[in-house]
Order: sequence, then C-alpha cells, then structure tokens
Amino acid sequence: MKLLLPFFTAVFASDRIRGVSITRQALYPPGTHFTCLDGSKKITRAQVNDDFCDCADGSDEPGTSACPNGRFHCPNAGFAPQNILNSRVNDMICDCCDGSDEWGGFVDCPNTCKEEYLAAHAEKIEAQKAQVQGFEKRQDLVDEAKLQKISDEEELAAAEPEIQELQKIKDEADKLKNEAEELETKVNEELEAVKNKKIVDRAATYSEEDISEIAFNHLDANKNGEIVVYEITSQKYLDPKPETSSFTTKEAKEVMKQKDKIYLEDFRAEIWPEIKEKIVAKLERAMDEWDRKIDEANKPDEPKKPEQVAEVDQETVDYSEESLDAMEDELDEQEDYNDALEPVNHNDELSDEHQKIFDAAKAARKVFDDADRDLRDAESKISEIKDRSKRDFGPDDVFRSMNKVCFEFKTTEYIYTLCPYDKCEQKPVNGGSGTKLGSWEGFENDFNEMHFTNGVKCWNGPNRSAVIKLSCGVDNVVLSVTEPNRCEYEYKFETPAVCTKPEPVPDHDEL
Amino acid sequence: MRLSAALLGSVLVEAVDRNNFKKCADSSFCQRRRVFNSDGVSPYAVTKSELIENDSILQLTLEVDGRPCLKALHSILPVGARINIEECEPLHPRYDPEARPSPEELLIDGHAPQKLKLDESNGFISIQAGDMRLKTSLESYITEFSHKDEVISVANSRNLLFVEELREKNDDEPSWEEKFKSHKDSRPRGPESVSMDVVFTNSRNLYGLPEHTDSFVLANTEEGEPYRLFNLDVFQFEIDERMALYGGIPFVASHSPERSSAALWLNAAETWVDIKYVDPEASIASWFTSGKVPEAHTFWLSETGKIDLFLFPGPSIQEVNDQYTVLTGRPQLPPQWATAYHQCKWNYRDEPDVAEVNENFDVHDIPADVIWLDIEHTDGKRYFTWDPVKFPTPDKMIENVASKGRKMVTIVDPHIKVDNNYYIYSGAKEADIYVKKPGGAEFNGWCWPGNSAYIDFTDPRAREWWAEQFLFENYKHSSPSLYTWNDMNEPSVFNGPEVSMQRDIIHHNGWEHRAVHQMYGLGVQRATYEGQLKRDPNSRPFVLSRAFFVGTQQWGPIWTGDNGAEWSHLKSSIPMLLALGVSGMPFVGADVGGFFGNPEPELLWRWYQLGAFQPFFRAHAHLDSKRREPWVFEEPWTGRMRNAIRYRYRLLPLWNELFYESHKTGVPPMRPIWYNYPKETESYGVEEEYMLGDTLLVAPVMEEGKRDVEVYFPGGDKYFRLDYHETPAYSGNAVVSAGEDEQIPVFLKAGRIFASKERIRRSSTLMENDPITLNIALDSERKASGKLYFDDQITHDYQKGEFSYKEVSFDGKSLNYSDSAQTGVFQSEHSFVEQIVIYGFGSSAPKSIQISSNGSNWQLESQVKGTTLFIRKPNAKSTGSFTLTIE
Repeated sequence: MKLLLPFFTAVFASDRIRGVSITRQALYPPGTHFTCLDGSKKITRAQVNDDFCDCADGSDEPGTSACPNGRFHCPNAGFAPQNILNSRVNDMICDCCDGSDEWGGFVDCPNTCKEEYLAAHAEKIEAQKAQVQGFEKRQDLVDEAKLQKISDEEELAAAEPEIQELQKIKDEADKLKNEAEELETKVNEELEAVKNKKIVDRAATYSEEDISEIAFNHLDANKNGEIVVYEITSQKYLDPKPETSSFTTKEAKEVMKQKDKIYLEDFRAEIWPEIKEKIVAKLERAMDEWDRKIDEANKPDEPKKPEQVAEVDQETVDYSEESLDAMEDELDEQEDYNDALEPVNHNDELSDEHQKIFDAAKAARKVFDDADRDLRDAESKISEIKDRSKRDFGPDDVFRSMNKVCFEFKTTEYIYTLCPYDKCEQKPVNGGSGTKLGSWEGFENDFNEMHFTNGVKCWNGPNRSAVIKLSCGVDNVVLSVTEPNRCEYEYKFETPAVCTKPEPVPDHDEL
Repeated sequence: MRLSAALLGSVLVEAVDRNNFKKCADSSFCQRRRVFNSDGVSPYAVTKSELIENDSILQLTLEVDGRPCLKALHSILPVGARINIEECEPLHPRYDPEARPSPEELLIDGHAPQKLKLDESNGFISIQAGDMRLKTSLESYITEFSHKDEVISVANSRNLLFVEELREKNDDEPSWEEKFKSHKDSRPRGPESVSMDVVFTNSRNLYGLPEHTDSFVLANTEEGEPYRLFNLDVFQFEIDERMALYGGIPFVASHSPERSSAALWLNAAETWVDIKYVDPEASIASWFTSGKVPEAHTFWLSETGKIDLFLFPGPSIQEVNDQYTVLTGRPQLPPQWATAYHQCKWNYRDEPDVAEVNENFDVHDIPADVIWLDIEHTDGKRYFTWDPVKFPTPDKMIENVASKGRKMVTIVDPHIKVDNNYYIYSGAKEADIYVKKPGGAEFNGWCWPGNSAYIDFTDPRAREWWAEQFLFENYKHSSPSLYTWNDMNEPSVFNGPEVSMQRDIIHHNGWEHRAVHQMYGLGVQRATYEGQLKRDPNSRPFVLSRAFFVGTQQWGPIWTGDNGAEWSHLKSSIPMLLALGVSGMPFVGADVGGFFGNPEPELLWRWYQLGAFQPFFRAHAHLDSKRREPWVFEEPWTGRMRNAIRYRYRLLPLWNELFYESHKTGVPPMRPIWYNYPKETESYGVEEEYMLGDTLLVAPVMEEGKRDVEVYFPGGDKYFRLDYHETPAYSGNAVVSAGEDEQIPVFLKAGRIFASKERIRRSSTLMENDPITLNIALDSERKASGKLYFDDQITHDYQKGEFSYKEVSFDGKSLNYSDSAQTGVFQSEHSFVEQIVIYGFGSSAPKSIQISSNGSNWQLESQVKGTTLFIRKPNAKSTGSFTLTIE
C-alpha cells in the first residue's frame, strides 16, 4: 500500500495532539481508544487526526480540515494563541502567525508571531494610552457639564426677577413712547391739514373743467387717455370700503361705475363729482405738471396742447399678460411714491416746538425698542437653558459639551458636518450649497450611536439619514463618512465621551 | 446592467414601458410580411437545377409570376442540411454573416458540403449524403429534410417563402422610410425582408428561441405577438412576454418521443418567429409522410439578409446540441473559479468597501470567488480607467482580494466617452474603428458617460485593437486576477430607437446596422476574450456578456439581464435558462436576488438556493437597492444563505464534469427533464424542476411561505435525496420538505455516481488539493456509473491532454475507478478519495470491503446509516485508479 500524503507522518510527529491547546490536551488521553467529546462514538486512538471525520462534533479532527465544524488551535508561541476554523487548515493561506495551520506543506508560512506581538503590543499600549487619556478627558467633560448645569440652574433661578424687572422697564418705556407718539400724531395731523388746505385752495383756482382733467391725468398713470382698474386700485384713498384691508377689483369697478375703461368725458360726468372730495388733496403734483405743460404750450415755438403730449398710440398698447404685469409694477411704484408723500415732509417749515415733539417721540421709541430687545434676549436665553435642561446629554451629562457644536470631515469631494443635537450636512468642497443629511433624532444603542433622520429626499429614494457610530478617543474627531446604502450615511466619530474606565494596566502583559 | 430609464424615469415604476419597444404592428416589415396566419401564395416552381462545387451543392432556380427569380443552394453538411436562398440577380448584395472569408466566422466546423448523390424522378429532385436527404418538389418549391428515410422537417411546406425584391428608390412607395416614435429610419435600400416557413413533422413541442420570458415550451403565437429576436436593453422587463430582450438565438429545437431535431435560421437582422401546433387531422406536410401526424409550424421573418437555414437531424437532443455546437462552436470550458459564487453590486463604492465585503465573507464563513465592480469604479465612465478618488490603489485592492484565492471583475462597455483627452476615445478615433453615420461622420449616442462613440466590433481591425487594450501594460492596474464584464452591448444607446442604434448607421464594409445588429454584442465579447488571451495566452479567459447570438457559447457566459426582486422572476429563471441550454448556450445565470428592488430575506434565501444550482451563480443589485450581501439580514438568514452557497462549493466537482461534457459535446449542465427522459411526455412542459446532467434532480421552492415542494420523479426511476439517509428513495410524485433548516431539495438519480468536495474553503481555488467524496446511488440492479473530470482548473493545458477523465462504475459488488477511454494525462498531487457514500445499499453492513490500487490490497472500514453505506478512507488518488470489492 502506497500512502499518498505527508499527512500521516505529520499526524504522529509528536505526542501532543495537533490543533489542541495545552489546557485541552488532557481531553485526548493516551490509550488505544478515543471517545468523541460529545460521547457519541468510540473510535481508535489512531483515528484521531487521521484526516477523516469520525465524530459528529468534529472532536476527532482538531488538527485537520476533515470535519466541517471544528476549530484548530494555533499555539502562536510568543503571541496570542488563536482558534481558527479548521477549514482554514492546509488551505494554502497562512492564518496562524506560527504557521502551524499550514503543516501540510502546500505553502511556506514564516513565523511572524514576534513581529505581530510587537505590533499588537504597540497598538495595545497606544489603545490603552488613548483610553486612559480619553477617560481623563471624559472626566473633564463630566465636570464641565456639572459646572454648566449648575450655572444654568443659577441663571434660571436668577432669571425670574430679572425678567420681571425688564418687563417693568419695557412697560414704562411703552407708556412714555405712547405719550410722545400721541403728541407727534397730533402735530402731524395739524401739519397735514394745513397742507391739504393749501392744495384744496389751489385747486379751487382752477376751472371745474381743468381740475377734473387734472384729476383724470393724475389717475391715468400711463397717460394713455383712459383709466383702467389697476389705475384705480393703486389709489388707496378711493377705496369705497376702506375698512376692508384690500382695495379689490370689484370695489374699483364700483368706483368706475362698472365700466372697463373711463375716458375723460365720462370721468367728468360720472366719476369726478363723486370722488372730488377724496382726491382733491392728492393733486398737488398733477397741478404742477398741468401748470408746467401750460407754460410749455404757451411758449411761442412749441404750440402743443397738454393732451397731445399724453397721447398714446392706441394701436401700440400691449395688453399681454407681461405688459399688464409690468404696468402693475409701474403703478405699484407710483403708489409707493404717493404713500411717501402722505406723511408730509415738514422739515423746511418745522417750528422748534414741533421739532422737539418729533425728537422726543423718536427718543421714546428708541428707549422702548432697547427695553423690548433686552427682555426678549433674556427670555430666549432662559428658554435655551430650559431647553437644555430637558435634553438628554447621556450618562453623567457627558455630551452636554457637544450641544450645538459642529465637527467636520473633509474628503476630496465633500465636507461632511456633524452637529450633535442639531443636524448633519454634506457640502461640496468647491463651494455650492450643502445638503442636509438629517436632523437630530436622538441616541441609540446605549449612547453609542447618534441618529439623524429626515434629511433632504433622494431622487427616487428615501429621505437621507445618518447614523454616527461613536468610539473612544482622546479628541472629538470624525474618522470617516460612508454611504453603506444609498442615502444612508454612516459616520465614525471618535470622542472621549464614550471612553470607559480603563482596566488597571497589568504588570504582566497578557498578550 | 440597466438602462437610460434608470436615469430618465422613475425606478419606482415597476413595469416595462411597452411603448418604447416595437410590436409586430410597429415594424413595417413585420406588419407587411407576417403572413403566418394566411395561406401561402402561388408556389415557386423549380425551373432549373444543377450540381455545382464538385457535386456538393445543388443549385435550383425558382420562378413564379410576379415575384423575383430566386436561387436556392441545397447542401448536406456533416451535421445537417443547409438551404440558402437569395435573388437570382440582386440589385445589390445582401448581408451574409457566413460569406467566406467570414466577417464573424460564425460557422466553426461541420459546414463543409459533402459530395451529393442526386436523384431526379417523379417530379422531385433529391440530394443525399450519408443518412440525410433533401427532397424537393419541382412543381412547387417545397423541400423535405429526412434522416434515414424518416421525414423530420419540411422547408417552405406552406409556401410562405418570400424575398422582397431589392429595387431602386421609388418616392411613391410609402414603405421606403420608417418612423418609430421620434426616430426616422431612412432605409436607403428600401424594403428587403426575407421569410420562409419550416414545419416539423410529428412534433408537438418546440423549445429554444432565447431570450424571452414566456413558457419553456414555445407558445402558439397565432393569437398574439410573434417571438421577437432583436437584442435590446429592456428596462424592467416582465414575465410571460415574447418581447425581445438582450440576446437572441434564432434556433428552435423540436422534441417528440421519437425524435429531437432542430432548425437554425442564421440571420443577424431583426427576426420575428411565429409558432403554431397543428393536430394530425389538419396536418399539411402529411403528403410527404406516411400518415397524419401532429405538426409544429414555424415561420421566420427577418428584416434583411439572405435566407440561411440549417436543419439538424438529431435524433436525440444530445445529438442536436452536438451538431449545433460543432457547427457554431463548442462552449468554452470556463476556469473553475468562474463556476463558483460571484458577488456583484452596482456599485461597491470604493476600496475600503471592497475590502470590507471581501473580509465579511471570511468573518461569516461564506465562500466566494469573485468580487465585481460596476461602472462607478471608472474615472467618469471611461472604461479601462479607475476613479482616482474611490479607487486610488487598484493593484493593492485586487491583490488583497486575490490573497484569498479570489478574482475581481471590472465592467468594460463598448460605448466610449467622447473626450479627446481619453486615450481609448482618441486611440480608437485614430484607428478609425467607430461606427459611422450614413454620411461618414462618427456616430455618437448617449450612454452612461453621456455623449459616446461606439466601437465597430464587426470590424476585425476593431476587435484586434480592442484586444490590445487588455494587455497588462495597456489596461493600467489590471492583473492576472482581473477579468471582464461586457454590458450594454446590444448595443444600448439611450437616445436611439428602442434604446439601441439607428438601423441606417454604417458598419465595417459599408453594411448597415440593421444587417449586423444581432452580432454586435457577440463581437464585443469575442474581442474581449481575445484580449485576455493576448495578455495571458494560457489562462482561460472569463468574459460575461449581456447580449448574445449564435456562437456566444465559445466566448463565455451570459446572464439574463436586469430582472426584478420578485418571486415571479425567481421562477422565470428556470425556463429562461433551460431555453438557452437547449439552444447551445450552457453557461448562463440570472442575477440572484433580482436586480431591481429589494428582496425580502426569504426571497433572497430561496434565490440563493436555486442560484447555487444554476450554471452561472452571481448575486447582483441595482444602485438604488439596499445592500443585501448574504450577511446583511443577520441570523437566521445568514446561516440559511451560507448553507445555500456552501452547497454550490460542495458540488463543484460535479460542475467541473458537467462543464467539461458541455465543452466537448455541447450538452448543457442544466437540462429539462425530457432531455434525460425523451419519451416521458408528461415531462415536456415541466419548468418547475430540472436536472443537472443526468445525475441530480433539482426541485426548488419558489413560493413565499412554502416549506415543502411537490416533486415529480420521472421515468419510474428511484431518486435519493442527498444527505437524507433515513428517508427511502422517491419515485413518482411526492411532497418533500424544504424547511428553514433544510437545503434545497436535490435528488441523486439511482444508477448515477458523482464526486463532491466536503471541505468548504474561503474560495474554490483553495479547495484544489482537497479530497473528494464519491456519491453513488444504486439502481434496482444495484448498479451505478458516472464520470469525473480533473484538470488544473485554470489553464489551457487540458487542450494538450493534461486532464484526467475518470469512469466510475459499480456492478453490485465491485467498484471500478479508472481512466475513461477519452482521458488525457493529469496527476493531482494531493487530492484523494476520502469517502464513498452508497445510497440504497441496504441496512446491513457488508462483511468486508477490499480495495486494490497499484498492486496493493487493503481492507476498509464502513458504517451504515439508514440504507446508506459510508466507506471510510479509501485514500486512493483522485486521478489514480483502484478497484473496490464489497462482500
């Protein structure tokens, strides 16, 4: 009989059972037979590690790949022993640092245990250092959180009387302001009346025919010889129902006697008498214009009538939607201009007494505004503190320091931000607006994950969301951002906040 | 992969947009010339006949009033009969994919016409060579094909032969130009379709014509649409459709209890095929045959080209596949890792992602052989390049994956981004190998990179240039562990008609796209295959393609394209793959899990179970699909999927044997039941179960919530469920359990022997040295036999005879394990036979088992479980010989 493999010689090379740790060697006592560790079967001792699976639990083949469910023990002298799947024995890949898994000789596995020990040891030292430092920092965070909390509580306690005080100041300022403004209004009304009377008097100097035409010109904003709805609605004082806030087309039509267009003749006959009272005080500019045109017309070389100047070729009037919009805009502008005229500019004619009243009102308003702002600031600060007091900052309030603080992670394409208790964003590196990956949802997994949900919806997909996986580190650093599923982002975030108390470093390194 | 609508339309729309694709009524020649349901017109008469080419071809002149004179060439080849028909004096030449020297070399062997024996009598003219004969009526041009005097099929039996006469442009003729949606086809040569009918006598069942989602047995099309063959990128295709899909093989196999035979309509243009089954009473070919028999009528209609019809005699389906693949090329013997599990996703994002996926297979103890990268790995969809940010160190990434015995595949598509700074674009421009617009300017269309040019793969110079790009020095960061995936090669053109190329686009030698459309994808895959050979001549190439045609089997596998994560798509994978298999295309698969959407874990698990028993086994998913690697759903799902994938690895030695057999003879590994039971009529429509070789019966669960399956065991044979030793053998019909902790129901046919590997490693290449187990199922005479194939799994050395082909037989007492007559010489240094499992042995243990090998004898121990005998450690070499005697 010709044996085929190196297996046989290797199996019996030593008394020690291959693939079994020293502590478990006793389970394979010397003798003629071996009982499967699950007790299911008794086989000869020679059948142990003979590269054929006899035991259902795989216990007869700890050193070969024959059983589907076994583990192979690498002693890895000089480094940590390891139990690997026995399907990795003699598969041409070096899995154990001592090379013991590839005893079949298909590949050469150099012993790398020393190098791996040194590397792992260095890593472990680093990790321990980081954990110690991280935990210290965590303590700082906890202490800081405590102080913050105390200061919040103090501020909150102090806030009530302070706000009452500020309210009182504001109320007083309000009262003073109202008094000053009352005076101011009265003066304004007086001045307004004087001015209006002047205009009305001047209007009276025109013939009825002229003044009604002046009023027509005033209303005919685009000077095309006809008045349409927009030209009426822009004159707020013509609103037959001033108590309703808007001057509607329907209301304007009422003024226009339900006509679409008003020409001068109709205006004189039907409209003018009814609106004369309302409009006459508004005609100052229109009268100036009238006078100017009369002057020009009277110049010998230019015998033009004012009407001709305002003449517009009917054919060219454009009633497209755009031009109507443009017309409306134009009228709006004019309306603004008209409004601006209303609080009369008295500067040139103000008496000292009036000036004083106006200055006093202005000063009272400022005092009030300041008082109002102070109160609102104080209130918002308190509501922030109250808000904070309701938030869950985790065990020992350790995440308190991260409230509304942002951290960044930069890739060549994007800058990712992480703002705990607020939001996550992704911004293109070379400018452009950011995309919200999610709003703060809360912690999960025993404060080891932050969840952000309901970000900007993906095209054809869900709303974006982000999960932040926390690990212990000396500083707050975003280590990576990935997108494992489309529009589901995952941040790896190192923070002292989750560092646990390090085990005391043993004298003997147990690697 | 996927299509424009993935960009333009909503992925949530879960249906194909039928308006994007032509129905027969939308295609002017189909609408005009689909005469299947009408009676034939007055028949052509044979007015002249002569033997030419050294008496190897019979040339017939066909004439009838009002139609062009036709010239028919009849010949008998070693593998079947051939009928070519074209006009006597065509205005300009018609495209012939087989004109020698051929542009595509579609015919490989067995196409030499044989010396003919001519017989002219009683109004018929016959040619005969060997057992095959073509007999033609002179009065009306109808030709019967017979084998050993038995009529198999009849060409033009219904007088539907029609060749649209090529003519000068006539502006009054409305059919000159054609519009579809916003696309105009200038059709400079006008209507030029060809058509003919072929009737299979004594047949009730036709199969083939891939790729469609209709039933495995071809349906009667009288009432509906014909089968359409026109390679198209169809977004979210649906089940039970005869719409065109990504590939097409104009091949139909007929099967009846007495005979299998087939027809190949070799035409590279758009083709529509009608099918009708006719009862004996209504049969029309019966005047040729001895009595009334059922008939299967087929009608073939192509937009352009010549008529080139091949009729294969069988008489078995195995012989049909042999004849067809002798003619069109044997299936490639894949490298063995390609037959293991592939992990794909659009897209593994970056190098850390790839590393993590690679690592996770080991963490979860799930084997895998290949990790795939879809289009996002490139620098802006420029194939042959790498995204510098996401894939900055591809060499390291590939090396890391390869360190576990695995491979990687990158996608390389035929559309090339128009960018003068892109070396592939400018290089191909300089080489002048892009397809052209009618005026001669470079054709550009939209695809993944945006504006793209398309390499003309019908041009041998273009294929040569393309192949060069795969040299290690040209394809930066490629390595011997990196292989290729050719997608979008229908070709897909997002802004073209039916998402493909305008038909008046110009190819090599001035041929219009309409004439060569079906061959475009074939050329892409072939050029890539040749590129891999160029870079490493002795390694077996691996190139996956989506489009396919006659001959694709030589260049690598195809998959069924962008299916959906739905139970109906899982179910449909069987008829789709069976149709490909009987059409000479054996290495095929469907995306495990379904490409579009998100499968529930149960569906994914069932798909893994089934996918592990289909030839090409790859999981793939859309960009918008959630991650679904086998560990994503966690336990218990991970364990279930792990078991399913590991089952594939366990049976890899069987797959080796099946793929080798396929390579040698054209028979598919995945077979309909009737393939092995040709006379069992009740199996003809079965598509819920199938067989691997003639060895295993596979009966998957394909319904949600089901935990058992009704299995039909054919032929009165006994079948043993693998690993169920306490359960008696099955036969007839039975309900078989398929619970959460069980494997897919798979049964070993009594009388068969196959090899498995029971030690599952991280990848198949790591299992090379592992021992095999022989699995034997005894038939009623306590006999069994089987074949085993061994080689180095990756090189072409087997072509130099470095392979071992074993014959194993058991006669009730002795097991003989020895070289078969066809073996080469190959020694596996390490692999040995570790166990022999004999199903149906009986409950009493044998007295003694003796093995003799190389002149030595020794006793073996054994154990009986249920009625299965387990023989312990024969320890003979897998590639050696031994005899085992059981008493």
